[in-house]
Amino acid sequence: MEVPNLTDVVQALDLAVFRRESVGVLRLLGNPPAWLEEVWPSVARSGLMDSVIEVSPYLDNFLIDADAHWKSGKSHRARSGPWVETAADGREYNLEASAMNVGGVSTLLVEDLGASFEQRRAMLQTARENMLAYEKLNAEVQRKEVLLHCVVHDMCSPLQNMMMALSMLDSEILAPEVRGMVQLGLQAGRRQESMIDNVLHMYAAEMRAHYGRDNGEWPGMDLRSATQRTIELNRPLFAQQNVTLAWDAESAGSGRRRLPGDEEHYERVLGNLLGNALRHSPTGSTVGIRFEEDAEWITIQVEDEGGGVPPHLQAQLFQKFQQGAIGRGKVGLGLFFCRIIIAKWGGEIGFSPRSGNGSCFWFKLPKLPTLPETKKPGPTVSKS
Amino acid sequence: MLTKKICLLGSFSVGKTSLVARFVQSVFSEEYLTTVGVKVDKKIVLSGDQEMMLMIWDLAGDDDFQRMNLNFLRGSAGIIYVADGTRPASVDAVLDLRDRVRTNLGDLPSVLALNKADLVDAWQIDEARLAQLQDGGWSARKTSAKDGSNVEETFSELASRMLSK
Ligand SMILES: Nc1nc2c(ncn2[C@@H]2O[C@H](COP(=O)(O)OP(=O)(O)OP(=O)(O)O)[C@@H](O)[C@H]2O)c(=O)[nH]1
Ligand SMILES: [Mg+2]
Repeated sequence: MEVPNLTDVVQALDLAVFRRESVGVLRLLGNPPAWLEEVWPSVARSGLMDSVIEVSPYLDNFLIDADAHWKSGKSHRARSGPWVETAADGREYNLEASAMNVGGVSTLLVEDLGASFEQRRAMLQTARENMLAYEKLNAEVQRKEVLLHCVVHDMCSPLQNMMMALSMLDSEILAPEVRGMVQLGLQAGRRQESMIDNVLHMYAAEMRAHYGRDNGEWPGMDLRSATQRTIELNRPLFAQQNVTLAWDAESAGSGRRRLPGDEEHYERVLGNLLGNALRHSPTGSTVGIRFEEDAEWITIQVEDEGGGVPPHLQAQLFQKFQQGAIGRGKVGLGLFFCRIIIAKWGGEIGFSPRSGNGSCFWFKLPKLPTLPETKKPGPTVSKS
Repeated sequence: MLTKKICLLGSFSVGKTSLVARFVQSVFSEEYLTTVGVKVDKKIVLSGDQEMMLMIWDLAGDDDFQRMNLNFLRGSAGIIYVADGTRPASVDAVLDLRDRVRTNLGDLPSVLALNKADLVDAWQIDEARLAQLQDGGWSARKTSAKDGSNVEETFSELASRMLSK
């Protein structure tokens, strides 16, 4: 059986094979492949690469990893990843190096990736172009949605004024035909309110909590389990960034509390504040949730150990489109959303700097008066 | 001669390769050819009266398809972070990158290029945001690889930051 000459094999593969002589010195084994004469003519000529940093800074950097690999004696290939070298005539070559231990010899292979590289690049290119198109579309959709919210929001306030004026008129003594007209106006107003409600519901369910009407009968909230759920939801994100999430479950009280609001939105508000805190938290720091309670209020605090909020930005934090100090927000609607929810519940949301460093974002909810024991069990609250 | 390695980091398609091409060869191409792997360019700059050889490492854009290999940053004296001013997400990406670089290499002299400033209509980073970034410790500039504005300035700012370190 005929056995191919290994040198021929290497040459057929277009590989340049080097042996490590000493730190930063490589000797070419066998004949130089054609590309080597284009890319590194002096190396091809002398068969020696002794100041690698001059020849190729990239290869020089890889030799640090290669040296570690050769020392380890491991048998697999350690690859450099592809890089580009430009020949004297301006042509670019995509190369990749690998370090190997072959029969006790510290060996470095350098190959011209040629066409296979082009394929890989084309694939990545398509993937990225698709990402760009997708991002663009998303941004457009988001822009439209925000615009819609603002438009609808702006439409809401004059309507509310009109409704108030009409209601006041309606409570006066009026000639019957005038009352008829006033009620027609009220009816149309209510229809418009519900249309606005529908639009908002369709585009972003969360905004409805602000604009939608409620009958004032809150189901009450189990703060401890709602908080627990939010924490569980966020824990993987925190773990990923190595930020500790700490809270004292006891301080949340237990069971269903008589509070305005509903757990679904409570969880979204808390989730927003946690996400915000995480974005501003350095690795290894802690974000804490604390509850405080007095006769009238329950206050929920989210404290981080990040850089804090610069004074000039504090006043605008809860406005539309604000992004905090170093601007790590997504779209700046998160805190605005929290504010409108909490305001709707008759609560308050705010920010206080912490002594030392970090921020404390808090919101407080008014405790509702306890119902007489005789009432049927279950959380119904009359509007006060 | 004093030699300094600098790296360009940022999300894909923000214009890293274009900024280097503008700075080193004074050329620009509209065509997007994504970088796979690394290309190192050299250029001699004068900072004050100090001549300096910059080894400019143009790295592949960092994304889910291809993570940045932190080994490439070894020996860097400075970083140019690049974001695309028409894509706010690319600014967030730069903030994450800086955190990753800091944890691995500590604080390096760095500057931020908010690139594609010539695309005025699509521009998404308002002055307030720019001020925020500057408040957050960034030396940030609006740049354009296309018309060349602030490209020299970005590299020389980094050069002088590296010298004064
Ligand atoms: N209008 C305009 N387009 C630019 C500018 N800079 C880059 N581009 C275009 O943006 C696209 C991406 O530019 P590249 O320089 O390849 O971006 P990159 O950051 O190297 O991308 P990756 O290598 O994929 O990470 C190309 O189509 C460029 O022509 C600029 O300042 N203005
Ligand atoms: Mg590139």
